[in-house]
Order: sequence, then structure tokens, then C-alpha cells
Amino acid sequence: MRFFSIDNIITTGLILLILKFFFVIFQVDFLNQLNNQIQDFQINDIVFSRLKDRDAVEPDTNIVIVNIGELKRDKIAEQINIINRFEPKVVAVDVAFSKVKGDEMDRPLADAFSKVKKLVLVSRLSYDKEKDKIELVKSIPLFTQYAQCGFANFIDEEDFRTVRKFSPREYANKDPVMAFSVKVAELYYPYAVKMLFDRNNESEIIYFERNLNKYKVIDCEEVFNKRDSFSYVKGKIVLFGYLGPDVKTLSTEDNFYTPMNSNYIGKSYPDMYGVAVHANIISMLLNGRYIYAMSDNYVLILTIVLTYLTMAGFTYLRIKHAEAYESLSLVFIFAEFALFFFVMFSLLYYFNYYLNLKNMFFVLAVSEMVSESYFGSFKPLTKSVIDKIGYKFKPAKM
Amino acid sequence: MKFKRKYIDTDSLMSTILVFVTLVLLPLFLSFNFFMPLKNAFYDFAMTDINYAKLRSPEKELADTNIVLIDIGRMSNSKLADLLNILNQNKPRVIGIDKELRDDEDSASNKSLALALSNVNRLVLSNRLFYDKKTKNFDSISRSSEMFTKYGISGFTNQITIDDRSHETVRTFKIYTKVNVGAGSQPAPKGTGFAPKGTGFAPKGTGFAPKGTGFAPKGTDTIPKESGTISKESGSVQRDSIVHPFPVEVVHLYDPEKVQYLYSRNNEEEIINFRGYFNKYFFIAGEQVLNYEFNSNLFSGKILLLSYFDPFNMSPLFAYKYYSPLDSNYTGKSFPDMYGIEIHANVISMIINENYFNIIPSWLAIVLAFILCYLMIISYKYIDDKYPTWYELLSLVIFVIISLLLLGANYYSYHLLMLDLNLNYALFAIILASPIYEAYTKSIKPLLQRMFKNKS
Repeated sequence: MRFFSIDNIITTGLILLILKFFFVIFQVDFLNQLNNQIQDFQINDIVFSRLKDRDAVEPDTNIVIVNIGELKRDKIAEQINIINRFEPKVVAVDVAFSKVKGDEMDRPLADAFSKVKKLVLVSRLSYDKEKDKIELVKSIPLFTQYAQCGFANFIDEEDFRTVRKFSPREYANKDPVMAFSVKVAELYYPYAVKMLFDRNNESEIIYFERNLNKYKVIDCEEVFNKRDSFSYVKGKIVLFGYLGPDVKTLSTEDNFYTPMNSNYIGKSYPDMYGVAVHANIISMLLNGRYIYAMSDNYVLILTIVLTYLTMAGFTYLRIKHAEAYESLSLVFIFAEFALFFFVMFSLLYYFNYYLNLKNMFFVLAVSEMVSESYFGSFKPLTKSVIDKIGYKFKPAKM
Repeated sequence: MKFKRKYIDTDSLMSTILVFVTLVLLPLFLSFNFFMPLKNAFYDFAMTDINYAKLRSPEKELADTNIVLIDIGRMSNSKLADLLNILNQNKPRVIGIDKELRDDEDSASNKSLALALSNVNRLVLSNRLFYDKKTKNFDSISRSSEMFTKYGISGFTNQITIDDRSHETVRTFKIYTKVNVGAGSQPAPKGTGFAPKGTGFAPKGTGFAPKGTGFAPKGTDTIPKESGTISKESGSVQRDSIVHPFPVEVVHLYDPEKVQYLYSRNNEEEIINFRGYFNKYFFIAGEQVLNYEFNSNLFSGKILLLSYFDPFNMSPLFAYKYYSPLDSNYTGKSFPDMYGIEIHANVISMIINENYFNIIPSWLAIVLAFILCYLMIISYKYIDDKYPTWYELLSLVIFVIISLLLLGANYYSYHLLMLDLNLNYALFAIILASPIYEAYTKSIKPLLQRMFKNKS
């Protein structure tokens, strides 16, 4: 029995073909939703969702989040004026003010913005299908004249997908633009952002550690009721954003699914407001706690190698332990499942290394069936057809 | 013995038994803490949801004109009183209010609301049951202030059957449940008899219905008593009360015979036959009513359901919404799609129109799944014996065909015969049939044979 055999190569190839084309069946309308769920599911989410001890995480005292609730612009202006008196280092507002609402509403807000030393407002990257280019949608110039802007989009934020990554920099009309959270971090601690760009990654996996309970949060009405007691914001980053009508009332607005969601699969409510996602990114940048990940090409190579090893394992069991093959192959599959779980979880948990072997779980699910089909049906049938053709074309004896 | 030899194949039978043993053991494997969401996702999945979400045409479903949904937003008591007075002038049959009415406004507002409520002939208010996971009982009820509740009857609005598992899809409703309060509970105060004034449903003070009429739900040998009597805050609810859901109470006032029929079906729980969202009923904003912007016939003789209900709000609050099988995202992450009041309307519509689903009992579903699985394994064995080289391919073809047949049967029975075949057991059994048959015949059995041979 050889490790490199044509049988192992063919079965590996068959599995990779299935992997490539299997999901075509999910293009059928009523299976589309199932496909969406499979695509969105990442096994590594279990680490953030279930294994990490969230209570042990220290609160990040560099960031304060203020809920703007359902306030109109003049009241948001009042909030900003109250907080700004205590000299925060950076004020960032995660709200798009893309339309003019009249002087009564807009003027107080513009005045409030004009008094902030370092102000960041959100913009939004929008893909124009007709022109085939990305455009930047900003707040009205009355406000942006006092601010720097950063785009608030996350990767995979649509269709109830889980937000796991962000892009630090994008290009709109060929001009580079920074993400909102990156811009905030830059104004607060420029070296942190230099480190980020030195990594030279197109996107970064977000190190989710904290939800609202691990940041100092000031609720909407609290700003007005305790207006003289916010001295702790001095020198801090203050993020203004929407956290529901009040922090206790959960809203669908600007609310996302993250890997910290306790239900990492199936129906669940979103678990983190957009402004808290930004806070997590800022914390990650300031603390330099990045997640390292294997590139897609290396993951592909690793998947091919592991698939081959799996199929070679089946061939070995088939030849050496023919009688116990069915049971041993099942044990073999479960052992591999357990091993992959262990390796992936350990790497992420202890070394912040994100190894995505999602495809290997699919490979394991179909590997035994493919091996059986090949050795039990394809190979003998092909052989008999070739034998028959060979017999037919055998030259007559002279 | 002859019969056994002729019709029962031992290998196939053993393989089928192994399939079902695996089905029992698999959930235990998923009971580890970090697999819980996976287990919950499996349990929440129902094949029938695909029918609603993807295969059925909602536009073909007719609207129910007996029910009017009215959005009362966050109206003050005085405004709500004005609204009720206008509605009452239009002679509705029943008014149901799915909102806890509080007496925390000025006394003039509270009094005007109480007066408006007292003028409603058939009034149902909502209450909410609280489930104690330790005692596994509903141990308290939260309800409107007593100054309002005395003018109507109350029904619980918890949508979920046992406790409030808000991440699950609402497919069924309990037609009654028991509230079991611990020691120290007080008897019901006077003047809160269940039968509402003027309904003629039952003599005052006798309780819900006369014993032996068949109305009392199965398993309750006493006449169901008044639903929870005092608000949760006061801490005393009648011990072992049978309480009924809000929509059942509404129908009870609308047409008691329909509720009798519901109870005569002897089910503790009914599958909800969803007609659709708010657009399958009349709906109107409370403000429109206050401005008299409605057709004079709109409310006459109808069931009016009042609640916070804002179907055009693109960013609703989670507290008011639930997952329904109509959600086009029938699996995976999504926001809840249906307001509580819409679910009530669907339940009421189903009871009034007697459009019930029937469901195959679990024991029968398991037996049928067993037989199907056995027949599949027999066919696998036949192919394996006669055409071993074709086995792998043909077993796959059989699996695909049976799966498609199950999907077709599921759709056909659910929407044409109103019968839920309860096919989840069958689905999981046929998925496991082939690998377990192979494991049994090609590994377990030879190994066992060898073991026994060595011993003998």
C-alpha cells in the first residue's frame, strides 16, 4: 500500500469538486436561506461566544459611550456641549446627518461641533452600480467643516450576517478614506494606527472583547440629569451613538450580530450596537491586540493536504482493517472533527490565531461517502467498462 | 417463525433500531454548553416553515374582515378613553386591549379611562404570566390596574408555550395553562367573576362554564376559575388557577360556540394557521380614529384589537415582535417579523373560521418514521446483495428521491389537507439510515460474530 496512490488523488479531487459545486444546489430559491446561514456560520465564533470568560475582561476606561436615543439635532447639540465642557480628547459621532433640517435644528449642532477640538463624523461608502464605483456619502458641509470623517461600514453587515471584520482603509473616487474607528484612534494615539497600517492587511478580524457593560455608558437622559458630573471624560474618547430609546430598550436600529452573540447559530437577536462595534475596534487598535489569520491561499493548500491525508487514512483502514472498516472510519471521522475543533479553538483562544478550517468540516462530512462510492461503485464499474472496451478492440489473432 | 423469516429481515431491523438509538443519543451529545445554540437551532427548525416562507403564495390568502387592528401607540389614558368612546359608539362586538393599563396618570385621566372601559360591552384586557424555571410553574401574573380590570376579563398574552423563549419561532399557542402560586396566596377578591357582564355565557359567579359541557379543557376536573386576580405587584394570585390566552378570551366573547369547538378538539396546544401579517386584516391608526377618518361601518359588529403596533416602522423595538413561520428567513439569523397583536389576530381568525391544523401524534410519527427507515434499509440491503457495485450510487439516488417525496408530502398535506405530518423524525432517520446500515452490516455484525465465535 502506497501513501501516494492514484486512488487517493482521485478521491481527493472528487471531494474538492463537490466542495466547489455542491453549493450550487442552494441557488434554488427556497434553499437560499439555508445557504445564507451556512455561509454566515463560522466555527471559531464559538470561542468568542461560549469559551472566553467575558467577566474576566477589564473595562476599557479610555472610551466613554453616550446614547443619543431618539433625540433631535438641537438636543444632541446640547448633549455635546455638556460633555465637551469636560474636555474629552476626541469626540466622535456615529450618526449620519445627511439632510438639512432647517436652522432651528442645524445651527445649534453646528455651533456645538465648532467648539469640539477633535471631532470625527461618520461617512458611508456606497457602491454605485451604474457607475461601477464606490462613492462616499458624508454629512452636510455645515457639519463636516468642523470634523474629520471616517466611513462606518463594516464587512458583511447586510442580510443579518455576522460582523467579524473591518476594512481600515478604502478608496472612494481613488481617494483613500479611513474607517471611522481608525480615524478616532489616529486622533487619540497616532502610533496605534501606524502599527495597524504596518500590518498591511486589506481587512482585519475584529478582536471582540467587550459589550456595553465593559465601557462607561451614559444614557440619553442621564446627560441632562447629571450634567455636572462627567469630569471622568477628560482626556478620553467619547463616542456618541444610538443605543436604543434608552439603554435598556433593545432596538433593531444600528444593531448587529457579532461573534460574541451567545447564539452563534440559529435565530437570535443582534447583540451589539454599531457604536459598540466601533468601540471594540478602537480598543483593539489602542491595545495592539490583533488577531492573526492564515491567508486564503494557505488555507486552501492546507485544506487540500488535509483532504488527501483523510482519504489516504480511509484507504489505509480499508486495506489493513477491512472487516472493521465501517466502524473505524466513523471513529476516524469523529477523531478528526475533535482534533480540528481542538486545534482551531486553541489557536484562537491562546494565540489569537484565526485558522478557518470550515471547509474541512464539509470534507469530513462527505469523505466517507465519496470513498465508499469510489471504491464500491466508480472504480469497479469503470474497470468493467474498460475491460469490455478492451475486449471489443482486442485485435483478432492472425 | 415462518412469517418472521419471510417478512422480517434481522439485519435491516437491527440497523433500523440502531438508527433510532442514535437519534435518541445525538441530542445528549449536543447538550454540552458550547453546542447548545446548535441544539436549539435544530429544535427550532420545522420543515413546515419552508411552506409558509417560500412555497405558499400569500397573495392568495383572503383577508379576514371580522378583525380590525388599531395602533394605539403610547397613548395617554385620557386619549385612550376618547378613542374607546368613539369606537364604542360604532357598536363593535368585542374590544381587546393588548396593553397593560396603568393608573399612574392624573386622576381625571384615570377616571375617564375607567368610565370608557365600563361602557364597553365585551372587553378583554391582557395580562402576562411569569414563569419560574426552578418550580417549573407560572407563579405570578402581571396585569392592568384593578380600577380598569374590573370592567372586563383578562387573557394572557405570552406567545410562547412554556416560558418566554423569545428566540424561538411562534408556531403554536397553548389554549389554557395553569398558574400555580406558592403558599400564602389569597383567595380571589370579590367582583372579579370570570363571566363578563352581559355576555350571557355563564351565570354570574359560576366560573367559566358549567361542568360537563365539554368546554373545560382536558385534564382539568374542576371548572376553570377566574384568571389571575390581582396584579403581580400585590403578590397574590389564586392558587392553581386555569388561565386562558388573550385571543381565546376574545373569541369567547365573540362567539362562545367557537371556543367550545376549540376545547372539544381536546388539544392542549394548537398549531396556528397563519393567514398573514396586518394586511390580511383591517388596520387603522388610533390617531385616525380620533380624527374620525374612518368608514362608519368599519367597526360595527367586529373584533377590535388595540395595541402598540407600528407596521411601517423600519426600526421597531424587539419587545413587541416575534418570529413567525411567515418570515422569509425561515432559518438562521433575522429580526423578528410579526407583532404580538398580529399573532393574536391570526389565532382569533383561525378559531372563528375553524381552520385548524391537525397534527399526527408523535408516537404515530415515530412508528411511520421507523417503517420508512426499515423499508429504506431493506432496499439498501437488496441492492447491496444483488448489485454490490451499484450500491453506493443507488443508495444515494434512493435517499434523494425519498427526501424529495417527504418534502412534497409535507407541502401537500400541510396546505391542502391541513395536516402536519410531523416529518422531522422521518427526515433525520433517513439521513442516518445508509451510514448506520453500512456500519452495522460491514463492521459491527462481523465483529460481534467473531467475538462470539472466539468465546464459543
